[in-house]
Amino acid sequence: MALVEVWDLWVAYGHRPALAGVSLALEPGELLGVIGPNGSGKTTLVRAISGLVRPRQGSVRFRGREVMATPPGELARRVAVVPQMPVLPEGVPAYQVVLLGRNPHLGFLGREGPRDFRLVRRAMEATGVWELAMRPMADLSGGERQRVVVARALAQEPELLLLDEPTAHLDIGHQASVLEAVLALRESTGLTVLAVFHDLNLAAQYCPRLALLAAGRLVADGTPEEVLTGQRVAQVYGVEAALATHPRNGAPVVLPMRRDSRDGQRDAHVSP
Amino acid sequence: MKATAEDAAAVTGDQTLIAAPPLSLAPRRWPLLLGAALALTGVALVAAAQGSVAIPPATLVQMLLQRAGVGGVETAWPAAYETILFQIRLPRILLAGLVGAALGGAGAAYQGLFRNPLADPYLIGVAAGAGLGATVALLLPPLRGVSTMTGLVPLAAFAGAMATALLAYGIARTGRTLPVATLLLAGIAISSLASSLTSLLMALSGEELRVIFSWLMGSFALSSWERLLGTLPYMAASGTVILLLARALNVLQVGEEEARQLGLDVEWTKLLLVASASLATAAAVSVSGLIGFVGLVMPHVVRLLGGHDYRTMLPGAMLAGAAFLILADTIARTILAPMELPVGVVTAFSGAPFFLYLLRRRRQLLF
Repeated sequence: MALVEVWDLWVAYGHRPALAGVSLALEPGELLGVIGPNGSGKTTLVRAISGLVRPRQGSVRFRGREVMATPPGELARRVAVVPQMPVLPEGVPAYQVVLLGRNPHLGFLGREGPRDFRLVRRAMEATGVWELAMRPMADLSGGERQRVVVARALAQEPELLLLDEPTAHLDIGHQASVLEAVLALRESTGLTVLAVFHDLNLAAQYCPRLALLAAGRLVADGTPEEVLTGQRVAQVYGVEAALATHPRNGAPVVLPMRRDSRDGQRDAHVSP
Repeated sequence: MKATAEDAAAVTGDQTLIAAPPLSLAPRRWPLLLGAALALTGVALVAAAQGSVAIPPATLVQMLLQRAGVGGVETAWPAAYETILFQIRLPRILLAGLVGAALGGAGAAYQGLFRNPLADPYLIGVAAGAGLGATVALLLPPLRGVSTMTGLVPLAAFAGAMATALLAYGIARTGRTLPVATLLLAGIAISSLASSLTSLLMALSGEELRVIFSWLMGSFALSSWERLLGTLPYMAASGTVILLLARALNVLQVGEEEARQLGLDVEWTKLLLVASASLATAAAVSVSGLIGFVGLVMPHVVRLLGGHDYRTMLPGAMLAGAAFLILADTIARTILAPMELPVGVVTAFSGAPFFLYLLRRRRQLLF
């Protein structure tokens, strides 16, 4: 049985539709990259799967159960989210933010025990922020803050991890370290991951499967080679691009092109 | 500004290579709370000894021990001491402590709920609403003279507080977000509306004016065991609920959407917080009038001392609020004796400069 089943999902904010009939399924242990232009509905898909928005039509099921009908506490024990722009209390030390990930596992009157603190430490070590544990969030750089939030999601011990552009503010080194940490966890625990990517090349590097959204619709779903074609990139993103393959691992690489430029004629165009 | 923050992060980043990682993440909250409790006890004892008749500390302790059933039956002190301590000072001190705890706890809860360091029971209009409710109960012809006896004042104050809280909240809230500026403006507007209505009622009240006026300025002069016991249930109930929601408040600091993704039932939490913080404020205001700055400043004082976890911050703000208000009331009744100052004047006089000092040290005021 699929872990996540999104079926004919329609979501609208006011009269503006954000998702228009999206259907996709996620098997346990899968890593799905969701790509698409700005405003194509990627974030809305993450919000819908985490039970934040009520669908106009269709359904989102996690383990066969409607997410909107699942109490927040129960859902949070299985589904963790790294938002695109996390809200972080500035004065709070980093470990305390990560500790919040244990919240769904504690009863109403529960307190964190040794196991919770161990999990917090392991999560922070996995994302390389353990040394910053006692530092207030205000002292951390953008990348460090992002990794603290990833650690919080890992501390939730989820079955499904939803990442909404987890690497948007990171340099390529930190992008890689965050994604490698997630991949390692996926291998060791069978974690299922749905990650939204802005960067097509990063998505193609890391995800065996990509889903391409455009204007709230799912326009392609398959391997990076199947999804990323020059024609489709031109159609969806409105930019001409050349498709290449990565010289070392063969993953598709999207190379955007300046309008009206021809192969080898870029200089000629600049000074005719 | 942005650059300097990042530079600072880069500089301190080097130090982490040297600094040992924390051995334990378990929060050490007991030293802070124990210190606050000791300070509270000390302040209360000093307050009990001070006044028009000074009771020597040794005698004071003996009297308390004897009343508690420890120590002999013989009395080595004037009989008047008994009345002064047990009928006048003790209920007053306990009531001031209870009100201080309620305001400190409610202030911390509101700051956490609205994720705004400037939120306090007074600024968002709850106290003004409670004041209006209480004034109506004190003045309305059929209730006149009866209200004070029957405990209707706390109920009316509570109704006023709830109405203003929900109104400010409802007006400020747009869709999924609660814009801070709108909330403060809505709170100020509703506050002044309630205050002007209170003023109108006072203007029309005639001979009752002095009673209402002194009530609004804040005073513990009318403290009694009856008053204390009358307000205790409200404060105990609301204080307990607020303390039980401490971890929920921690979660709420990441915003409502993320809080839900972390498993919090956000709407239920907000409702409980607004209700209990309003009840605590209303109960406080109804027995002592409008006393400012306790609810605003005490949470920041506790945060400064290292209590960013609401499980430390909330009880800490309650203890600090209690100690501060007992101290303020002691100053109010002794500094110009036999004249008594309104206690709200004392809290504002000492609280405002302190808060300005905190504002100057912005980094320490990180929320």
